[in-house]
Amino acid sequence: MTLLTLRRFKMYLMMHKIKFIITFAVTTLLILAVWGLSSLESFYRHLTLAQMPITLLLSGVHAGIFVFMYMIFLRGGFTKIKQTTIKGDQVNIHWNDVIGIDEAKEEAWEVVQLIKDRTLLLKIGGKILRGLLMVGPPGCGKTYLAKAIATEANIPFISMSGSEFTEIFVGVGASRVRKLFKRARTLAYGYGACIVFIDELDAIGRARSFSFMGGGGETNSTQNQLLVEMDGLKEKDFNVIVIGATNAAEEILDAALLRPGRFDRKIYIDRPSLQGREKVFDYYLKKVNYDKSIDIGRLARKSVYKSPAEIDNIIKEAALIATRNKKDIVSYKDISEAMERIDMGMKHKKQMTKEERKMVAFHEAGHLVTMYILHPTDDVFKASIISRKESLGAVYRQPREELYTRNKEALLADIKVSLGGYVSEKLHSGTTSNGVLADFNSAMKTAHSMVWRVGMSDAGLVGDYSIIPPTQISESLKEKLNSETNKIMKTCLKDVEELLNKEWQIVERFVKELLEKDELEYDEIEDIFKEYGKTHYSKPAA
Amino acid sequence: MNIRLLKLFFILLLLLPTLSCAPVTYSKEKVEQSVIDLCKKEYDLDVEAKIIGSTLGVHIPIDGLVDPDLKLNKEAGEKIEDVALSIHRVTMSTNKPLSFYTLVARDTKTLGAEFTLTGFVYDVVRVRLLDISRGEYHKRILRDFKFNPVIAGQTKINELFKALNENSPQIQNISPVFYPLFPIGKPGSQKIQISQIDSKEISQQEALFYIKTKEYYDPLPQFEAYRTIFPSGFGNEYLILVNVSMFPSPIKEIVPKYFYSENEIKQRDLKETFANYKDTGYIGINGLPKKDLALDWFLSQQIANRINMLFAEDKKLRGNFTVKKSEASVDNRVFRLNVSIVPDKPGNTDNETIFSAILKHIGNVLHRYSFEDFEGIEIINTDAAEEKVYLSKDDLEKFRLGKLKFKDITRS
Repeated sequence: MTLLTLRRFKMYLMMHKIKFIITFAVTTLLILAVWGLSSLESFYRHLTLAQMPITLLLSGVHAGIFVFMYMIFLRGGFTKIKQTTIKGDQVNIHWNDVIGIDEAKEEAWEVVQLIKDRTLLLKIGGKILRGLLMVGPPGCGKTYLAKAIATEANIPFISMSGSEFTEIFVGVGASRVRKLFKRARTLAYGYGACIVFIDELDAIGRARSFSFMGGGGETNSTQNQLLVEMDGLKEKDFNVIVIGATNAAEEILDAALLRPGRFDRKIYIDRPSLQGREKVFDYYLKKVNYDKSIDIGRLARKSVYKSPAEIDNIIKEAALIATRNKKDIVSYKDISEAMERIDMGMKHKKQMTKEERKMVAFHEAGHLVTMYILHPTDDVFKASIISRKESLGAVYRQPREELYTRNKEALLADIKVSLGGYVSEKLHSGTTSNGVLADFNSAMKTAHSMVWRVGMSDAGLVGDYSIIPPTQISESLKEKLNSETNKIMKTCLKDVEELLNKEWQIVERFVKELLEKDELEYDEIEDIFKEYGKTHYSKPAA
Repeated sequence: MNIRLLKLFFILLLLLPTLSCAPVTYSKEKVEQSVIDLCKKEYDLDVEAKIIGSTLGVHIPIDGLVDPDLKLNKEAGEKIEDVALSIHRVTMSTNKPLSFYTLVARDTKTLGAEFTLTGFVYDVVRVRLLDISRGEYHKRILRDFKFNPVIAGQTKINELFKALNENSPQIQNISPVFYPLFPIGKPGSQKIQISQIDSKEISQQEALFYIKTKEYYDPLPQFEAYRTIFPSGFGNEYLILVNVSMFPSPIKEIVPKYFYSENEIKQRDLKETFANYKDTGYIGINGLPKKDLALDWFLSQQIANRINMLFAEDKKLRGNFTVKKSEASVDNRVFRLNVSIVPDKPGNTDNETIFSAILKHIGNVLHRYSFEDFEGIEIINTDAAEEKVYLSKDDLEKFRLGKLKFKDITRS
């Protein structure tokens, strides 16, 4: 305890060395000035004191000019490097605050244990951890997890963004890296260990480019310095753990950064699962007044692929909507509206003719009925003929569960859903609009990919033909592949036509409802289908 | 941390001005002693100092003030500089309101040789603050290097009376002037004891002495009756005029109180006569000021000095005119300047040029001192048929600003 106190005192001295020197120098100079002035004859003392304000002003101006020139020409401007240093116990993000990423937490917990048991590890002869790389989409809690590690390990935490290192002046980034690690080592000396968290590591960790023109010199030198600092850490003296976070794929980062001895551990932090989302919703809802009857499981299902940050944003937006509607508590409707607003953008009603509006309603109803009845994995959660962004209407879909692959049936269903609008328009008026453009684009892309790339045609064409250079692929094969693509499109079209002809009554009902209400919620859609005795697509019996 | 440091720095910085509350270096009670101590401590010079009103006088006796060629000795000059610096230091750092200082250096070897510096204390401050240039400052100081007729006269008078008491043969021809002692006394019995001696510097070279004596004698038998009128130890008075230009016999005239005329003994009122003469000197016989100096007097003397400098330095005037005399005084709030300026080439008398230059110069001097406590200025050029010019204060200012032409000035 005494040794640690002494170390912290020494660390304090080291960290504030310049300040102490300046304080000592200024105090000494002031004492000397007082002494000198006192020894002057009163006339010269008064003269000196009278001149002091202008002397100070001029000194200040000269110092200002010098600092300005120095900063502009030698330090690359006045942008101050933000090294947010916080002591472990002040980070205030606890392990339980990190939610929805349980797998990543488990791996991170090991890291915490490694930091805590460093002495034991060194005794055994193991190598201490130097770097931890957290990879994953934005908003999934990488920074949160890093802070939680610092809290649990009870060590200081220095946070910087990778972009703060980059500067147009070569060497400035490297200098900042040196300063950062110097500070980290000092803190590690005083507190036993220190975490350096570099967010957006890809800003300096990208694979280095070696150009004879000298391009990328600054990034290279910054990264080189980072490599040196990480590898050059003295295991016996300092325990500095670098935690890097990036949204970029691992391959983008320089190989030297990823080798053992630098970023030893890699934690993949993905979007939360259904259970994870439930926890995240539960966590953030507790921060606002909400209607306790809200089905959090339903919200979690509705927010597939949403990151914790996005869920946080949904709750904040919902709270704003509730406030705007002069309500005390956040209701399910508010959250639903918040999700739509975030996902689909703001509504803006365009002035359409009655016929045009009707055409849009038929188009969207076509999509809706096709998706509800034919799609094996996705649900309709809303249909709308209110324009948002560029679209005149939309049918919003949501996977029923997290699926990381799509089978042939799902892809065919995607194509059919895309064609639903076209078929519905055609059945209604005998003609079609150019509103199908985006649908056709999507359908054709899927069909083309199924045949050309993933071997889903009936003709037994297996393989990714798209990687064959166009000059090396035969015309006959091309024709065959395109023919299969076309076949899928036609088959899907036929299926949709059959379906909509059969369920035209339901389509018309939805058109009527849409024209009346503009928008139909999931529950309303579900009720209508139930009314007609229709249920979701169910997998045909084998 | 940084904010705290900055606060501490500014607090300490704010404490600095409190030093101005510290006491003055030379308190008003110890000004004379401070000058004496400073000269002794810093330069090992023994000086005397005295304050009269707002004038600080300092006297330093110097062994060898003048060289044999009658120029100021270099070492003596350095000593004068040191004393002047000490005076400046004390006058600037005291709470005694001093306006003028005089520094008199007298030669202990050469009789009457004297160097006088007279300055305005505020000029010293201004030159230190670079408010005026050093050149201008030197023009503002009154420097006077001369043989003081009072000093020389005093010594010569003492020698004279000593010789009279010793009945020296060298004074046989003038001893009868000392009436009635020498005409009626037995030779060798006469003794004169000076009981009082007053002096007045009546010009640059002349001094008038008023001397009171007690005289002892044994009368010649034929003058035994005089005992009743002039008993031994009777009081007598003399007026003695000394002119240093007559050196080594500078005593020009001796006037006794008593004289024999028309068969009777008569007496003159020498005290009144002495009182009628104006003392032009301001330094006493002890080398310290006799009176408190006034700014108008100081300016008048400075103007007189500056006229000499002006005609020596100005390109238009130099070589065309010579200043033979330049004296100034203040009388009833009027500056009276008595000059004698002659053309270098005969017949080149150009009073307009002379007077214009002088008036402009005087106007500038008074303006730089912001001196307004006067009514006018009168200039007499004794060399130009006593031509006289008078300008009121307002006209002088107008002339200085070029709003009044010389031809419009009243002349006589």
